[in-house]
Amino acid sequence: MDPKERIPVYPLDVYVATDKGEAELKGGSTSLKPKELELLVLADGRANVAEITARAKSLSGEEVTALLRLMIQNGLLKTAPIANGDSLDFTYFFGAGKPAPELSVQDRERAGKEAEAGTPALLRYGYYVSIARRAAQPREQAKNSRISVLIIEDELPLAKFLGQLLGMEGFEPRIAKNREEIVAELRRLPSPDLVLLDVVLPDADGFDVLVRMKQHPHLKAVPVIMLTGKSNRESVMRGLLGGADGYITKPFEIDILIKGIKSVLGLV
Amino acid sequence: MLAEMRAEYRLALPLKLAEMERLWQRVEAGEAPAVPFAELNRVAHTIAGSAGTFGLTTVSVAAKALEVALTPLRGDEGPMPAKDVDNIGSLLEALKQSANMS
Repeated sequence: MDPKERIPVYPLDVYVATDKGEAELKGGSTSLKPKELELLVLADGRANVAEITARAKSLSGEEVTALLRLMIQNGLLKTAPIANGDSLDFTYFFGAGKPAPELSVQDRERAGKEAEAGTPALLRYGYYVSIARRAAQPREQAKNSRISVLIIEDELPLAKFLGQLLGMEGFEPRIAKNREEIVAELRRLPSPDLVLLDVVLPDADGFDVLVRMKQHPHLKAVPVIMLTGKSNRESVMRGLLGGADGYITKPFEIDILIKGIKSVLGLV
Repeated sequence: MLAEMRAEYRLALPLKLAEMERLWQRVEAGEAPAVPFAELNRVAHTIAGSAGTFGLTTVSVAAKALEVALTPLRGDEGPMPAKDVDNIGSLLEALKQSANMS
C-alpha cells in the first residue's frame, strides 16, 4: 500500500500550512501546482476538510483527500494547533488531554440540584436515576431525514437491542463499541443528533469521551445522555458537570429512555 | 422483540459467567491479580446493567452486589484478606445460581 494512503484524513479534521507551506505560499516562486496552492490557502487552521471540499473550486472530495494526504506527507500541511482552549485535532481525543473546562457557579448549582433530585429515586429503587434536560428549542430536522442516535455501548446484545428499539421509534441508530469505533463515528459526517453514552468501556472512559466532546467546537452542541450502571451521586454529578444533557442508569425502562431522548431533543 | 433478545441474552450468559469464574480463579491464584480483578469488576458491572434491562432482575441484583463488593478492592495490594475472598466467592456463586434459576 502506498504510505500516503495510511495517513487518515477525516471530514472534521483541520489543517494549517507548515513553515514550508507558508514559504511556498509567500515566496517569490513556487514549485507547487495550482490545485496544491488552492488547498494551502483553504487550509487556514479553521476550516475543516468537509468545508474545504465544499469551497474547493477545482477539486472533487476524493481529490481533496488524496491531495491533503500528499501535502501532509510532503511537510506542507500539519494538524491545526490548539487555539482558544479548543482543539480541532482529534488526536488529542483520548490522549492525556486537557482538564475539563471550568464551569460556572450556576452550572455547578444546577448539576448539584439535579443529582440531589435523583437521590430519592436512588434510595427508593436501589440504584436508579433518570434525568433529562428538556431542550429549549425543538430540534430542526431536514425533510425525510431521520434523527441519528449514536449508541456507545460495549455490551453487544444491549447495543443491538437499543439499535432495534430506536429504529422502531423512527430514529437512525449508529453503534460504537470501543475507542476506535467511537472516534471513527464522531469523525463521520453528518454528526449524530444525539449520543447515548455508556461509561465503563473496555478501552475508554465514557466520562472522558463526554468531556472531549464538550470541548470540541463541532461536537459540543450534540446532546449526550449518559446511559450507565454508574449510579452513585458522584458519578451522576460528574456526568452532569461534564455537560451531559441527561443521565439514565441501567437497568433502564424502555419508556423512560425514549421519553428522555425525546425530551433532550425537544420532541416532547 | 424484547422476549427474543432476552432469550438470546440468556443463552450468552453462561459464557460470561464462565469468563468471570476464570478471572476469579486467576485472582485467587494471586498471579498479577490486578488485571483480572479489574476485568472481573467490569464484567460484573456490565451484567448488572444489561441483565436488568432484559428482565433478569435477580441476575442484575446479584451482579450489582458483586460489583459493589469488588469496587473498593483493587486486587494489587498483596494477598486478599480471607474474608474478602470468601465474600467475593460467595457473591459470584450467588450470581451463578441466580442465572441458573432465571
